[in-house]
Amino acid sequence: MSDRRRPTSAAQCLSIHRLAVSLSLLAMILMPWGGTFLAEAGFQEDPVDHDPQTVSALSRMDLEELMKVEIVSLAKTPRPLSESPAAVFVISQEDIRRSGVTSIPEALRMAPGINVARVDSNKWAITARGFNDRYSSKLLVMIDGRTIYTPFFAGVYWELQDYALEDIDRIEVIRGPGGSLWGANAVNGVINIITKKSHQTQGALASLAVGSEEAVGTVRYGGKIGDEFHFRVFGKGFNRDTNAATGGAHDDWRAGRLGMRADWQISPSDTLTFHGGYSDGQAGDRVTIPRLGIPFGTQTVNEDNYLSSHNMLANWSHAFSHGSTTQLRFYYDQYRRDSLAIGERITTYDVDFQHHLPLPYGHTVVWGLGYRLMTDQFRTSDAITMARPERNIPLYSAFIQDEISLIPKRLFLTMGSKFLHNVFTGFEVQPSGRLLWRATDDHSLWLSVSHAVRTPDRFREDATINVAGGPIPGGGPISILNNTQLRSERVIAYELGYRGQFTPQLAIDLATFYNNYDRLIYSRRASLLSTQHANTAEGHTAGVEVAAEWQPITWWTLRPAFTYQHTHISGPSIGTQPFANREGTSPNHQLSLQSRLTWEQWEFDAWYRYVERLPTRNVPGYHTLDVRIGWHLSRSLSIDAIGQNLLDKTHTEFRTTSGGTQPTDVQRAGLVRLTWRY
Amino acid sequence: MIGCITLCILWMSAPGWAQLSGESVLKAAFLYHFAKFVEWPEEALPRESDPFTICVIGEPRMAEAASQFVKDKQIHGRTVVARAATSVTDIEGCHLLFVDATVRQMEKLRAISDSTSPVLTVGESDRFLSHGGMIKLFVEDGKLRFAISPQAAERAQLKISSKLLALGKITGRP
Repeated sequence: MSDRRRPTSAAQCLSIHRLAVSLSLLAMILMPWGGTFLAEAGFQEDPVDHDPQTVSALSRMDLEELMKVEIVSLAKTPRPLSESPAAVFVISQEDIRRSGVTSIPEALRMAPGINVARVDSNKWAITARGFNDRYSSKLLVMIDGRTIYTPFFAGVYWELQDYALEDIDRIEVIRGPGGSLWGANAVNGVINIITKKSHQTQGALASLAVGSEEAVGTVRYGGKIGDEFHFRVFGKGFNRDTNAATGGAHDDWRAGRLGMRADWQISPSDTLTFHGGYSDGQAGDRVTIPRLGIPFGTQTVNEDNYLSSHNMLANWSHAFSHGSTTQLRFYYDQYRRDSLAIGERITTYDVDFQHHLPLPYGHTVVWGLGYRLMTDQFRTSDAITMARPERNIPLYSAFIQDEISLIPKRLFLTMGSKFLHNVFTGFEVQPSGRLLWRATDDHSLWLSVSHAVRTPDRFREDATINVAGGPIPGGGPISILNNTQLRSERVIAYELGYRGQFTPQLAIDLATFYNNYDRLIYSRRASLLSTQHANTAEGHTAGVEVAAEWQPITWWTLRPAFTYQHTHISGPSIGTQPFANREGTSPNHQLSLQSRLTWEQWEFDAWYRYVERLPTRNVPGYHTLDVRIGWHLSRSLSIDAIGQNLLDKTHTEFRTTSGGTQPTDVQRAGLVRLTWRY
Repeated sequence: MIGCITLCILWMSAPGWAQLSGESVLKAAFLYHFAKFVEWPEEALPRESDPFTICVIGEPRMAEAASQFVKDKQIHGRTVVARAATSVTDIEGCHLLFVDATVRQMEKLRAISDSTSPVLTVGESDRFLSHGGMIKLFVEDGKLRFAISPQAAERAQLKISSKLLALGKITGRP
């Protein structure tokens, strides 16, 4: 708990308390049925997706006809992601539930190769394979195919992103360049958040988590109209307390969100999917902004950032009888973020077409075209000025990829490239080649070489940041200047990976990488008081990521994940600050160990994490432990007791100067969660 | 216990394995037809009211697919139910047992194949038949195929119709 609590949150706590009482009454009513609830498997999951059209079509066939059905024509994806020649880690719904996390960023801590650092209560710095920052820019993040990084600085405002966690099907975490399929900015990784299909979320769900640091409530209802149209709507609201900081923190956070999804099976071969979302919230910040008048310098003020967003996505997929599939997707997304330093309103329109085409002689081709228009409007301040406060930024893209089965079921070669045209650097090509060798059914090796780019963004292209009022009268402020001559950052990535299933109880996934960067965008001195964004640095990162799953006994699973990475970047020093200071923003070593015990309707879970120090940021390393006890009272009701960050009272995870945000310390927390399904 | 199963199943499916739902339904359709072409001894289905039970070990989605496929269908004049089974020791009341490709515990399977209880065993692993299984499902040229070991079925007092034998590949157990 922090030193500061607002009357509004107290009022909310009261109403939440009332809800908790009625939920516990409900629990008592439902208790008598507790005995039989385990009769069916999968009690903790929503029913799984089985296309009613497929069932009825196959029901009409006799065995001889069934033997003529091509499996690939039934499949949306030709091969499970876990067998692809890339460093992939999938966080399932079960993983999210049993880790006890209450937000998407916290769930990402499970993935090897990903560094998640909480800057304050509502801000995160998240990266894959080095270069972490609150405004880290080399990661592509999507929810159901909608890109959620902001074109402003090509990073993610994690405080704007959320979903009903119970309705997330999985989070696919792909480290390494995903350029050939996913486009620019997938330089170091792609995070794909995929929500459940509507027919997997039929019925009502209510969950309420109340604890020392936060209160989160989610309500969802899923229904159907006829057999072909399924939908769900959800609402989620939360209120989060401040973290800890000397002198007090001002980073409490509250937000509400509404969302919907509908899946419409128009015909056996056509599916239409709609998504919609709206959110509104307020996130506190203690921020240092320049004082351009007398006395010159900086000032630190408390403020509340206003956050809102709305979006809409439609996706039409069609399956042809010869086995190829097409997908046409359109989305609209707008977010607003208002802070003292800058007000942003950014609208994105995006249309994408994809064609997946199995061809003879073992070829499978996927190609696509895309167009995106980003329009923005900024309110500037003494802290940030924009060379052009409004701008339309179009982006054209195309990709083609061919997967060739060189030796059936054993050796696969994937080659492809993404092509894009953007306003900042013009035409860019991002090719990649991947080889997968399945030595046996249980052991496979893969390797890849790829080239990817991170194009300059609106911020570095047009924004000037005033860091502080200048010490010399008439000399202007100390500032970081925009640069319209920036070129794309480039990387050539070499990856080698291995996956092995040693016994039915032990599986290991290992990935290694060496990334060679050049034209990295850092800064150079522009005048006595100012620096400027420039392609001044180059360097490399290298690392090893290991994830394993071991089930010593049927009711006990251990999931260790280990990450080692090393960064070396060189560039000109600026003033007295040597360049090496830029390297230590990601830890060299990270360790995560999850233990999951299941006994009848009880679950006992523990999650230990170690993150090494960030020497140049003066952040010490930390050990931490989360525990969860879950109890399925009945088929429809479960209760979790969750303890987070138990090993210390507070710890620092990140310090950043970007954005002027005061970093605060993560606190030990306790939480009780009730989940009710009907 | 079922929590355990879910855990085992989650384990066996490599992290995040997205079993293709269409493929699961297709396999369920095969299971349904196999059951129609096999005769069970009377003691296996003593009462008219007993449902014909399909048990599935492996991916939860497979049990779910089978359950949806057999809804409102009949086998040998009986209603059909499909359920997930924890392990080969949890097959009380099962008439057909399907062990999907994610399951590799062959030792256990051998234990039941050595018994003579009338359970039709269908599996996907390469060595399924040599471990005493009766029907092996496999993919050939992108289509589902099956191989039958009539001896294994005979030992369990199951009679496989000649039509099914004609459609499948017949292998003898050494």
